[in-house]
Amino acid sequence: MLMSNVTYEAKGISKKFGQRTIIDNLNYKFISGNIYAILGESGSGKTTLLNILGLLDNNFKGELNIDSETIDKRCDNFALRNEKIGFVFQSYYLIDYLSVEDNIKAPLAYSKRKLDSEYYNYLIKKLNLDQIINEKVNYLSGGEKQRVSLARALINKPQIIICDEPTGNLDSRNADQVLSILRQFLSADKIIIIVTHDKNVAHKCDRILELQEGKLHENI
Amino acid sequence: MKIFEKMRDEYGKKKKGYAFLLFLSFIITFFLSVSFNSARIESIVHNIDYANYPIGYSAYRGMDSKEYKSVMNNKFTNLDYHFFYYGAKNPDTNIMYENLNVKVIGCQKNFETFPLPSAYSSTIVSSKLLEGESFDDLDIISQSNAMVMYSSQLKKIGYKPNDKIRMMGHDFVLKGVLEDNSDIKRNINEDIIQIFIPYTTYLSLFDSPYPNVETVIYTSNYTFDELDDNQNFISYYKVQDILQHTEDYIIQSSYITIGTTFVISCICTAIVQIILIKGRYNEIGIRRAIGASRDSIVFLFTKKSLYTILIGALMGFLTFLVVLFNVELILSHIYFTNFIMFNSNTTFLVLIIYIFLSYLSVLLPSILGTRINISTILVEER
Repeated sequence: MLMSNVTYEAKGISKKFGQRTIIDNLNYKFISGNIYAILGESGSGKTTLLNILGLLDNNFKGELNIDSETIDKRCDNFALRNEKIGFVFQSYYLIDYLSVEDNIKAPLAYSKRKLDSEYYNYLIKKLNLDQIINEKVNYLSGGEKQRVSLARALINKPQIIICDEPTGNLDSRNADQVLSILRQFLSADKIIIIVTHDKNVAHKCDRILELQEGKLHENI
Repeated sequence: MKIFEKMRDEYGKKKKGYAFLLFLSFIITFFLSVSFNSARIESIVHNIDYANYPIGYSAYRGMDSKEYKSVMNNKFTNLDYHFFYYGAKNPDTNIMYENLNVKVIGCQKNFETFPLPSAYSSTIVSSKLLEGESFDDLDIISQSNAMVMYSSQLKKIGYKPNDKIRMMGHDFVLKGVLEDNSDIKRNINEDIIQIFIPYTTYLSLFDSPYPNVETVIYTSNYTFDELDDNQNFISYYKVQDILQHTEDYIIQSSYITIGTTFVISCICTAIVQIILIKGRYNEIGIRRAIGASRDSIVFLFTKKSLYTILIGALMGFLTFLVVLFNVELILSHIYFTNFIMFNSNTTFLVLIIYIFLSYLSVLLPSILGTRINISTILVEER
């Protein structure tokens, strides 16, 4: 299957909290087929940037373009989030009263897309979730929860996967496993953005960006 | 079964909140049902002696908006209009008389002893004038629309001397009140209201089968029961009366209770919903992040609360039925009369209004709950 390149561009993004500027006229173009690591000290605005890139926060200056198409900030963009963006959080953010299966399928409930059973089976096998698929998520270990979270992020085949400290709560073995899975799912039409403060994680990514004084600097 | 399992899993998490909502719904529906029906219950208890009268037609039937207007003036302004629909209801006793018969009697002047002896009168009862005046020569000559009634019957339909009464399309003035042995008389004449007017007036207005009689003229009964009393109408108008701020103290106190219960129920339901939503901010953030619209979140939360409200309402309603029918059973044993206190339309209305208002009161916190910034929720949860 021929996969086209996808670009995700941040143009002149600025964000203030009170008088404090967190993101200052940030410009960057993310290109598919790459895993980006965004590094930064605590309070540098990594999560703020991630919220903006993930369309979780519309209250900023500047614009975001997916494939040169500008995202309308006035809208809630829930459909865009559902179809094009997958999230992986440090705290997993799973719905604890639902089973692993229901958590994974949750984005499909808000999507026009139907469940691709073949892909779903591939996903749970690849993430080694087939043994715990009917378990309630609050009985799972941290590594298992993060794999469920990854499966949920991937179920809708999004073009952009945003990970906020995905390995933050995991030991090194599980952290490597998560990164390896992300690498396996990276394709020519996918952009993976990982926000981390862990330089070891960053070095396993294709491009490392450092957030300093509200701007992204690329370390090649 | 899967749905119930899912509900159990989810409700198990917020057990206290939902249990409280359930209990609240139960209590509120119960009290609302009682309040809505209390006008009927209270009135029967209040007027138990009247209701127990051996006259077949007297029973409390509630009050419609037209009657309400009459009560506002403390009398029935248009007698035959009321008779035509429902019969008459005394505003003092709240007893509704159905199928009330009115007998118009044309007679001569001088009510000192009444009626005057007549070949056509089978019963002669001497009556004294208690209040007002009797007919005089002028009334007879001028064919005036003056009328005289027995005191007990007057009391029954709530008039006073000098009141105007519209009867058969003609305005009459109640000129005098006759003494009677009310209990005996009412038993004998089977709730027939006897109205005495000058015989000349009678002849000119109502015609007579006895044109040559100059003393007392009896007519056939005028019956105003052409339409069936429709309980639906009464229930419907009761609700209208809430809006019209009826001054009838029994009805008014019932409606104040109903209104207060509704307000309290809405506030409590909203508070419970706020607590439940606050406890699930995390879930709202997650669902919004994975692509749920605000509407779908609102629907999710209101749907679940509505299940609880419906279960609670049903339980409250069933408890109300059990209590009501037991009360009715006890009363009917004491008074040997069937009190049909349960009004299905009213109770159905209670349920509909309660469910509608409850839905509104869970809707508002749900809408506000989804207004919060997603990133704020997810950051707060860390």
